[in-house]
Amino acid sequence: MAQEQKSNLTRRAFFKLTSSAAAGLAAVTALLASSRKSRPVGPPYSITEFNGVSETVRMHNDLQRALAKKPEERRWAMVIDTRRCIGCNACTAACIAENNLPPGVMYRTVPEIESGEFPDVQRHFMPTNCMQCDNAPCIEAANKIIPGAMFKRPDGIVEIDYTKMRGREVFEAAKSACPYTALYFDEGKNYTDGTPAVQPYEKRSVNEYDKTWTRLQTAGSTRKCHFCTQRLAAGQLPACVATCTGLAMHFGDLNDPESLVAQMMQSNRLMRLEESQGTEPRVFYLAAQPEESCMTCHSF
Amino acid sequence: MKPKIDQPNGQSRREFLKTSALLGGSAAFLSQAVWCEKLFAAAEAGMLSAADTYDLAKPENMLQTVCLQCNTGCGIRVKLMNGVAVKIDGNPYNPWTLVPPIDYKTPLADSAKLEGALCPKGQSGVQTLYDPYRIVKILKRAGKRGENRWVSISFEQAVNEIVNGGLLFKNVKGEENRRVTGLKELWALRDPKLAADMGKAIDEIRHKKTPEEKKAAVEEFKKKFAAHLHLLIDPEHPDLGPKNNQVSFVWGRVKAGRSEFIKRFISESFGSTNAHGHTTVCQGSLYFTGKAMSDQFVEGKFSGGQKFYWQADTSNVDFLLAIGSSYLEGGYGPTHHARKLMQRLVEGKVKIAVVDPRFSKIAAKAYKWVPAKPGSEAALALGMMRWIIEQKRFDEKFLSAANKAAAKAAGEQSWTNAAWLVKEDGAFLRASEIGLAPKEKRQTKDGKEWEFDPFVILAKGQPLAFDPNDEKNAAAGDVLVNTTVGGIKVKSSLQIIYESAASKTIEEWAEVCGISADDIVELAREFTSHGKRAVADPHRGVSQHTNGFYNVLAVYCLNALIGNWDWKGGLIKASTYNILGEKEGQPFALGKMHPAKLKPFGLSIIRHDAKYEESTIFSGYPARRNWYPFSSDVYQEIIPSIGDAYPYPTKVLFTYMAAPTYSLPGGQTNIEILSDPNKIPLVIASDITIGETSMYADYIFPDLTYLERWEFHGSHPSIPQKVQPVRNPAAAPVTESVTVFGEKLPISLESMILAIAEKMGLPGFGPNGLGENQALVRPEDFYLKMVANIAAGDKPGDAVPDADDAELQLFLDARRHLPPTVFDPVKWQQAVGEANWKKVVYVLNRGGRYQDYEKAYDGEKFANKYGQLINVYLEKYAKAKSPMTGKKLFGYPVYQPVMDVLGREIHDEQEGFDLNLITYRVVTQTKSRTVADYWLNAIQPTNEILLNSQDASRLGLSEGDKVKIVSKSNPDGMWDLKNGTFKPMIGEVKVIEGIRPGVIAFSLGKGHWAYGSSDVRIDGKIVKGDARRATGIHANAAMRLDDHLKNTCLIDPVGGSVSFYDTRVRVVKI
Repeated sequence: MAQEQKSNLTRRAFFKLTSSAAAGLAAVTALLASSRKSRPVGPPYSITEFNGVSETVRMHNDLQRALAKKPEERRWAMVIDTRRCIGCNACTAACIAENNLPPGVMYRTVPEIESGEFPDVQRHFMPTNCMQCDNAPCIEAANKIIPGAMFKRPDGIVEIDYTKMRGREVFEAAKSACPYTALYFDEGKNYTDGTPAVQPYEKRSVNEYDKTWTRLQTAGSTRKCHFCTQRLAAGQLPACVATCTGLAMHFGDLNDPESLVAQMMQSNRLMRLEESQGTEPRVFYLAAQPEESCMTCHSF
Repeated sequence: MKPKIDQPNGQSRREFLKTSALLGGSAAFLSQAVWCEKLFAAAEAGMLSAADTYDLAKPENMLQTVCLQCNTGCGIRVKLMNGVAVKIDGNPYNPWTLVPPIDYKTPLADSAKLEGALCPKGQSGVQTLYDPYRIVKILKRAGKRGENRWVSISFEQAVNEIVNGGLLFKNVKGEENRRVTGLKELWALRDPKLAADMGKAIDEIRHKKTPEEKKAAVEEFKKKFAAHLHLLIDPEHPDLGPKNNQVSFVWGRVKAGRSEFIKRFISESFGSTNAHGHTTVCQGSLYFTGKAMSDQFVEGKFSGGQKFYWQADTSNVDFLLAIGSSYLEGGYGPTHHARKLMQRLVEGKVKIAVVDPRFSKIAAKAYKWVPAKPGSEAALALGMMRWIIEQKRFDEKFLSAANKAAAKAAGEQSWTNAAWLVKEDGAFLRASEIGLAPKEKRQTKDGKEWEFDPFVILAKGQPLAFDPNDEKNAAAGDVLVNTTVGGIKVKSSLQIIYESAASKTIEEWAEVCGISADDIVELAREFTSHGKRAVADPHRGVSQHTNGFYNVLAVYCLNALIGNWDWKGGLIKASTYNILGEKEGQPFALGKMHPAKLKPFGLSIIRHDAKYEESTIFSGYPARRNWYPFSSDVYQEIIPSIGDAYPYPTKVLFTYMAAPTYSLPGGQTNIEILSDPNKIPLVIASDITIGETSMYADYIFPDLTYLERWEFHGSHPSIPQKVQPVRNPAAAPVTESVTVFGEKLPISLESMILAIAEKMGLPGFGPNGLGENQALVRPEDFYLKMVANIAAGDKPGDAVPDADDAELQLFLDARRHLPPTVFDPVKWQQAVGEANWKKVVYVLNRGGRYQDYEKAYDGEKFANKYGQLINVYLEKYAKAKSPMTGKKLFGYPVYQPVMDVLGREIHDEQEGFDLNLITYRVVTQTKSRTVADYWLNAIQPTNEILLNSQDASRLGLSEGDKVKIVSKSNPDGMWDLKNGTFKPMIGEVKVIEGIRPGVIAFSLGKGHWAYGSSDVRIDGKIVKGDARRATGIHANAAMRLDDHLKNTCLIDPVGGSVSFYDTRVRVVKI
């Protein structure tokens, strides 16, 4: 595979995918927002002193302020600082456990690529999940098949109605509309199928989109990241944000100028994936040298 | 107030969780998930509303404990839904997961919504707990060793058989008449006074100089103890010790608490000297270099070195040179390292450089990657030292301080022996030798007399006698000295180190490393450009070589040049709250609470803490196997030494959480020995599944996982705060209940030990186990006392507050799912007494005790300091001889090539083995014991053989090709499981740029052949293995065996480590 890619690439770097990341790379077509390209280079953002309050605590406090407001007054956003991502997949595992995801469903992945030639090598890690687009193509595609299957909530989260969005047809339609490979089909499997006993934790119900769903109800549905609506409702940060070891994951309310994410938005290095498609994602990325990583091999 | 315990939804506490279907695989077992079925049904019927199902943010549904998915031991919060553990997060009180953590005094309920970070292994812990392949009953071997045919038997039968012995395997073909010696018979020496007397007499034999004197001393011993000689293994060689030593207990991952419980059993009560850990398979030579360097000069001897090491203060380091140290994948991380380093990285506050043949994840965050050859770490450090010394970029003030007073005067907390003068024979010059000062009579702590002969430095050219521990008279010496004093040729320690560094040019060192001289100079310049906030941090990649000890010593000496010990951002050590009640004001002095403590004596099976020359079995060089006067827990020695019956045969082997057959390089040699009942007559394993090693046992006692039990995880050097995380039961036990000493307990390591003790009448356990009317009949009788000690603190006035009523109630509510076999509030309170109870609850509610972050520092200085002598020169080593060659060891850092135990260089590359095999850690696996975690397997389903594209082209290999790894020791590339099964070492090639050409790597944790990955037969029924657990390659069996030892991998004979990274292999396309 490496040889193949090398010969296909005209640029100096060649890239390789880890096996588990292959699916995700299609989504990692990074684009610099054109409006941001002209900004002067400067410090990316200022954060609290290390010896002070943990960023986790700060975002937790930001969240409580946001939750005191009406849902339509909040503007949830995720800011992912890839410079701090170590590709540990703590977020992936936390998400699986939090949402009791079955085999074949991952609300998020961390694709990894290698660039350069020995000894000038680099590895890049790119966490990715549903972008909760303001102009989400999946909603339109799904609703064409089953009206009301997907919709945009007042707080900006793209919701799936598990009672409606059932079966493969609607899943395939929504999936092919999404430029981010964010949607998965729940085949109703268990990780411990075929072992001496299916384990109880796999059969538990989940709380998503402020409702309780049994395994029977989610099985057969389309599934995707929802910024952990159950945790937000309880005053907690999304699981991937809370557990991120390198604190690459940030979450908060862009309408609150005091929030960490709002301050990070001042960075001149922010970008969104597939910006040109006009999806208006709510997930923003920071990268040290985007042109050296994702963008070396993907045009924009 | 009367706390009440709610039953979950009126169910019986115990009915909800029996998850393992491994035994028998019968319909009865399959339907044991009663709770789940009920919930499932209720949910289907729409009986669960939103309000009562997102329970995971409520404090009564979470418990704080400590992870053990790897040895980092992050604080965790286990969240339960109707009594089932479903989600694990970081405990926000714990400094591993939240940096800085929340205030320790934060009320428990207020902490509920906040979490710290946790790596994916930690997140997946519920799958280790609820592993369908867990065993819940005792399994007894029903076929040949390793054949994986088992019968389940009662706990009582198992205990009876191993205690009393007999024709235990008469149903197994070939073993009809094999009589097994039981533990009772091997508990030969039982009288503590006699044991102490014999031990003392044997010490005297050890110290006799000539063979004649030794022989006479043995005869005298035989006369003196004539009535007791039958208790010994061999009266002609009394230094082998009593027959008790023929029982060995070996563990893989054990932490404090359980460690004390095991030692209480095997050493203090049973009286065997054979209680051995696994340190040398991890990073033994790192620990034992730390031990050598931390020896203090006490009462005339260098002693008391701590088996530990120092690490960078990653919270504050400005330049981190990670050498063979995989901070973001293994290396006691990644959680806290990532939390600390990544934020400072993007702020431009820390600069990282990485020396590693593989482009690791920390390399991805580094400004410079130096892919030096494996095993060249000392060469790199010596090259850097040469440049630093010649450029005079070292901290002369720090290095010149020769004692405590001088350190203080220099504004330092620690000091080295860099300026001390050393004679040509390797010993330190003493003042009396040159008539500088007379010897001085001093008293030991025990009131014995000893003679102090001062050490000597050259202070501004003049000899000066000094005491290394002197707090008043500062001794600051010249650091580079090469002269004659009073007619004796002497050099300073630093001069000796410099000469070792100057034995090659920087270009020559670079050539050894396979890098450029510019790389060495640049690293040296950068390293000396950040004051004391720079650290060269060595780990496995440095220590797990045949030259591991001297590699580590070289890297630590490099650190000494900038004097970074005990400084913020420098090298720091771990600090923990004492659990044994050794500090003033602590309520339970557990070490002393034993009614008839035996002091084991005699040579251990791994010959540690002993010199070959001092034994009665000395017979010239080379010795049959290596001896370890300065190291312990030499894992690779245990089973091969038992196989060689050197120095004596072993009758019974206990293994706990141990998988040497999988974990050790050349682990197949252990299989060969374990599978032979003539070599080890009785093997008893404590394990949670039928694992890669426990499958060769005669009996497997099911154990509890880390989420169901107790332990005290301790700390790591890069955690600046003083801490003591407490592992405590968070989930209901999955194993069956048994009755021991009249108490109902789950089957576990502790109940196994308690039952053996009960059957044998061993002191130290039972109703008077901890003293008159002080019971040790339940695990918490022991462990809760340790919690009470932590709660009291390390000095009077250091106690934690009492838990208030709200916290007491929460403590009970959060444990409402635990059955009385593990949680009975009345019995728990009795174990510590009412006076300590509320403080114990306070600590348990927080999953341990954690000092405030600010208290770890005093300005720029590290407050939890090491604060002692650092030996950069090791006199003890310089005086010792190799038992294999008879040659003297080095007392200073040197570079050595790959060698066998006889000091012969190994050059398999000349025989066509063109690739250097290394291993590495992925964050998703922990060696032998995380393959049960399906979520991790979903993230990383298999492992590959990493190969540089240059090698791929050269060998005509492409991505995805299957290759077999072969070596000189294993030309067939095969695991021989000694049960008729052969497992070839075949893996898929992954072609990358991020590995040094000529080096190939595979990650540890895959390529299983047991642990639920293959079929086993229990009670006549086949339990099918899961192919997802057998993916990938584990190529340890290709690792080079030592040509002299033959049944053991290559080793570092000085530090004790195994070699993981020195084997030359070839890959054969399949």
